[in-house]
Amino acid sequence: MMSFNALIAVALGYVAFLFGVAFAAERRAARGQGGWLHLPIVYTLSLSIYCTAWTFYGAVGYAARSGLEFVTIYLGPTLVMVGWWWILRRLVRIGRTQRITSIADLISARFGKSTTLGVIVTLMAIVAATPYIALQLQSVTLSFQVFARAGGSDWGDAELNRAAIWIAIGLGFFTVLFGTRNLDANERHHGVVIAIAVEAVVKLVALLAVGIFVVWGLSDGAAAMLAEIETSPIADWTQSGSRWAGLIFLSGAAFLCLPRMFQVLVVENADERHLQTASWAFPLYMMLMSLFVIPIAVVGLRIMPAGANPDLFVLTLPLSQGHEGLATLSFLGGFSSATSMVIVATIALATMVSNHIVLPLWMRSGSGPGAIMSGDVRRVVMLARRLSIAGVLALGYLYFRLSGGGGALAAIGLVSFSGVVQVLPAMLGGIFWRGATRTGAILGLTAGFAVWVWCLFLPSFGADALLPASVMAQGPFGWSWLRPEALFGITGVDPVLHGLFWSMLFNTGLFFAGSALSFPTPLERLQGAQFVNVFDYGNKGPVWARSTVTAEDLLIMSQRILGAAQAQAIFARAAARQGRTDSLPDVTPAFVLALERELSGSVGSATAHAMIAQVTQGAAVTVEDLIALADETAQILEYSSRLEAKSAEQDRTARALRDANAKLMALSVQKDAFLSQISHELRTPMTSIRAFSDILREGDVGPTDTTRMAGIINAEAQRLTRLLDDLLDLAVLESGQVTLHLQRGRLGDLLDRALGAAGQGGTALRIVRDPRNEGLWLDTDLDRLAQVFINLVANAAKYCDAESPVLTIGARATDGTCTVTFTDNGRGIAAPDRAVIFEKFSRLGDSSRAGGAGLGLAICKEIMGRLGGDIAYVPGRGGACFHVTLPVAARGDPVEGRLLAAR
Amino acid sequence: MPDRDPRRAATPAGDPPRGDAPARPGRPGLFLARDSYRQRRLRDVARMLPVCGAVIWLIPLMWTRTAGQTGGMAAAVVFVFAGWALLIVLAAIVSRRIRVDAATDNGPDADIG
Repeated sequence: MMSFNALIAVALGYVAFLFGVAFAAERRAARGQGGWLHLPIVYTLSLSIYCTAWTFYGAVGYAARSGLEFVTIYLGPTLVMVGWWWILRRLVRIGRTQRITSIADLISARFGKSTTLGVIVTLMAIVAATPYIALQLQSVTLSFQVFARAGGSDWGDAELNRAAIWIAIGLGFFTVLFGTRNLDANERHHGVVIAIAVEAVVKLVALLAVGIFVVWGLSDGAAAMLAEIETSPIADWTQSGSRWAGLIFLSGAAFLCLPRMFQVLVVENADERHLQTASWAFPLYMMLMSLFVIPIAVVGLRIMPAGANPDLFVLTLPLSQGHEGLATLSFLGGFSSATSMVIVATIALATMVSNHIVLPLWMRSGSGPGAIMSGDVRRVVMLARRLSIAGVLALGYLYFRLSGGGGALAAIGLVSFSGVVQVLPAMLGGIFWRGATRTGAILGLTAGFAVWVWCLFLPSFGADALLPASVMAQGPFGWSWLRPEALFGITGVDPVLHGLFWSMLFNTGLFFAGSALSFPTPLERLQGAQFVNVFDYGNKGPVWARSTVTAEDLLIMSQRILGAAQAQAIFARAAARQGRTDSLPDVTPAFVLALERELSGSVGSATAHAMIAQVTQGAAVTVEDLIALADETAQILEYSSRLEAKSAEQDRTARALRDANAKLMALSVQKDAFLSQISHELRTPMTSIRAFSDILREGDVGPTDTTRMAGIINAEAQRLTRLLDDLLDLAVLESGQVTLHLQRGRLGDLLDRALGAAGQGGTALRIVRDPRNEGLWLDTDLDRLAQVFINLVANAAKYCDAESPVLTIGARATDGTCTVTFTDNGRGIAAPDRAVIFEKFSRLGDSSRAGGAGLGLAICKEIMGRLGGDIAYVPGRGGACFHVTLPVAARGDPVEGRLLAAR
Repeated sequence: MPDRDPRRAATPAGDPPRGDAPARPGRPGLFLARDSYRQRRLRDVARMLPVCGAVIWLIPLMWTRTAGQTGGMAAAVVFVFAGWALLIVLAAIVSRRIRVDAATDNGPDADIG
C-alpha cells in the first residue's frame, strides 16, 4: 500500500515540475525563443481550464445522479466554439484592438470607459467565482482525504482545513510568482499558460486512463458497456427537456462570461487564427473528457458500496481495485484541474480588482490632478494584484470553511454559472448593438444580479444558513410572491432554471429599456461604434484634443505604470515611426491614443483614460471625431458636403457666365458705339473731302485756298487710310497669315526708334528711361515689336491726364523672359474697363481725344501673341502700366544674352 | 463607343474576370469569382454550425417514453456523442478551409466584393 506521505511527495514533485516548466517557458519567452509557446495547440489546451475539478470529479457524480444531463455543461461551450465566427472572432478582435484586460474591462470600455460598470462587473465576478474556488479547494482536499483513508488514517475537519489552507497558500504563491511578473496583461503570462497546457494534458490522460481501465478492465469492452448502461440505475433517469435546453444555454453563456475563460480566450490569445484550430480542437477535448464519464459512473455504482460518494469514483474506483499508480495519476489529474482553474481565475479576478477597484480608489484618494505625477503607479498595481490574489484565495477558503464542504459539487457550479452569465446581455449587446448604453447596462446588470442573489445564491447555502426556512417557504414579510424559488407565485419550476429565467428576463429587459430610453455620452457612442464595427474601422479611436502636455510628462507617467525600459521602448518606437532621431516623439493625438492603448493593457481602459485625461487636462472627444465615426452622420455629412461642393462649383460657373455676359454686353455696347464711331470717323473725312473737292471742282478759288483745301483733302484721306490699314492689319494678324521677319536687335535701339516714330519731340510727355537695362539683345520681329512700343507710347501721350505727364520705361530680364514696362503717372484705367481694353473696337471714355478707332491695343495683343510673348495691364502702379513680356534670345545663345544683359 | 470584344460577347456572363482562381478547365467563364464566392458560403456554413449542433442535441428530447418505462440511455449516449463527433469533423473541415481575412469581410450578409 502506497503511503500517504509518498502521495504528498508525488504531489510536491508534480508541483515542482510545473514550476520548472513555467520558469523555462518564461525564460525562453524572455529570450525570444518561445515560438512554440504560440502554437494553436497551446491555446487550445489553455482553454481546458473550463474543465475544472467539477468536470474531473463532479461529472461522474453528476452522471450517477442525473444520467446524461452532465453533458450539457460541455455541449453549450461546444456550440459557442463551433460558432466562433459569430461571437468569439469578434470578441478576440475587440480584445486585441482595444487592449482589453478582463471582462470587466470589456464592459467598462464599451460603455464609455465607465468606472462604475467596471466595479459592478468585478464585484459580481468575485461573488460568483468564490464558491467555485471553494469547490476546487474542496475537491483537492477530498481527494487527499481519500488517500489518507486508504492509508488507514481517517481525516477529520481539522486535517481537511489544514490541507485546504496549505493548498491555498501554495496556489497563491504560484499565481503571484507567475501571474504578476509583468504588468502589461497583453504581454501574456507565458509561464502560466504553459503550465496550464501541461496540466490539460495530464488531466485528459488521467481521465482517459481511468475510462479505459473501467471499460476494458472492469467491464467487457464497448458493447458490453453499452449493455450495462442500459441496465444500470442511471438509465431510469428521465431527462427534463427544459432543463436540458436551459443548461446548454447556461453553459454556453458561462463559457463566454466566466472571467477565467475570458482571460484565456481573449486576453491570452496571441493570434486570431488560433481560434480557428481551437474551434474544433477544444470541442474534441471536451468530448474526450466526457466520453468515459457515464461508464465510470455506471461501473462505480455497480462496484462501489452503497453510500460511496459518486463525486470521487474517478479516484476510488482504481484505488478499490488496487491500482495505486492509476489512482495516483487520477489524483494528479484532479489536482491539475483544480489548480489550473484557481490560478487563472485568481489572475483574472486580481486584474479586475486592481484595475477597476483599487486603482480608481487610489487615484481618487490622491489630492487633485497631481496624484498621477507623484508615487509609483507600477508598485501600487503590482501590490494590488498580489493582495487581490491573496484576497480572492482567502475568500474561497472562507467560503469553503463556512459551507462546511457540503453539497454536491455540481449544484454549486450551476449557481456560480448563473451568476456570471448576468454579464451576457451587456456583453452581447455591447458588441452587436450600437444603441446599448451605460445606463441600460448598469440597470440590467444590477437587476439581474439582485435576482440571482435572491433566487439562487442565498438559497444555495441551504435552508436556515443565510435565509430562514420561513422566508424560503412563505417569502419575506409573508409576501409569497417574493419566495426565492417561486417568484410571482410560479411554482414547480426547477430552482436553477427558475432563477436563471427571472434573472435573465429582468436583466435583458432593463438593459434594453434603459438603453432605448437613455442617451449615451459622446465617448460611449465612439466606443460603441468601434466595438460593433470592429471589422470595419480597424484600429482607430477617439482622438485626444491637442494639448500643452509634453512628451516628457507622458513619459514620466508611463514609466510609473509600465516601468522605465518598456515605456522608453514604446516612446522610442513612436519617435522612430514619426521619423525623429531623438527618443521623444511629438505629442500628436494619434500618439496619445496609442499610448492610452498601451496603458490600458496594464491598468484597464477606464483608469488609463482617466490618467491620460489628468495629464493632458483636455477633453477627449471632439465634435469632428463624433461626426467622423458615427458613420451614418458621416455619410449624410459627406453627401451634403459633396452637394455643397457641387453647388459651389455651380456658383462659380454662374459667376463666370455672368462675367462673360457682362463682358459681351459691354462689348456689344462698345461695338454699337464703335460702329457709330467708325461711321462718324469715316463720314467726317468723307464729308470734308467731298465738300472741298466740290468747291475745287467749281474752280473759282484762289491758289492759296486751293493749296489749303488740297492739304485738308490729303490729310483726311490719310486718316481714312490709317483707319483702313489698322482694320486690315488686325484682320491679317487674327487670321494668322502674318509673316514674321526675325531679326536681332538691341532693346535700347528699338525703344529709340519707337519714341522717334511716335513723334514725341513736341509734346509735353516726358520719357524716363534707364539705359543700363536696355542693353538686351532680342531675336524677334523688330518692326512688329516697335509697332507695339509706338502704340503704347502714343497711348500714354494721348490718355495720360497728369499735369506734367511722365512715361517711365523699364526693362529687366529674368529666366529667359524679357519684361518691358511702360508706366505713366496718370489716373490709370478704371477697374471695369480693364477687362476690355485688349478687345477690338474698345475705346475708353470720350473717343474724340483718341483719333483712332480703338484697335491699337487689340493689335498689340495679337502681335505679342505671335511673337511668343504677352502684353498685360498691371493695376496699382500709380498710373496706367503695361507689361510687355517676350522670350529673350529664344534661339540665340542664352549665355551671350545673359552677358549682354549684365553689361 | 469602344470596340466590343467578340470574346466577351460570347461568354454568358459579361463581367471581366476579377483575378480569382482560374475557372476549371472545360468550363470557362461559367462561374466568376469562384474562390471568393466559396469563401462567403464557407462563412455561412461556419455560422450555421452551432444551429446544426443545437438541433442535433435537441432531438433526443423528442424521443418519448411511455410512463414508467425506463431505458434508452445507451442509444441517447451514442446519439449525443455521434452528433458531437460529426460537429467536430465539420468544424475542423470548415476551419481548415476558411480564411480569416478582415479585408474581405463586409459583414454578415455581404455578397459583394
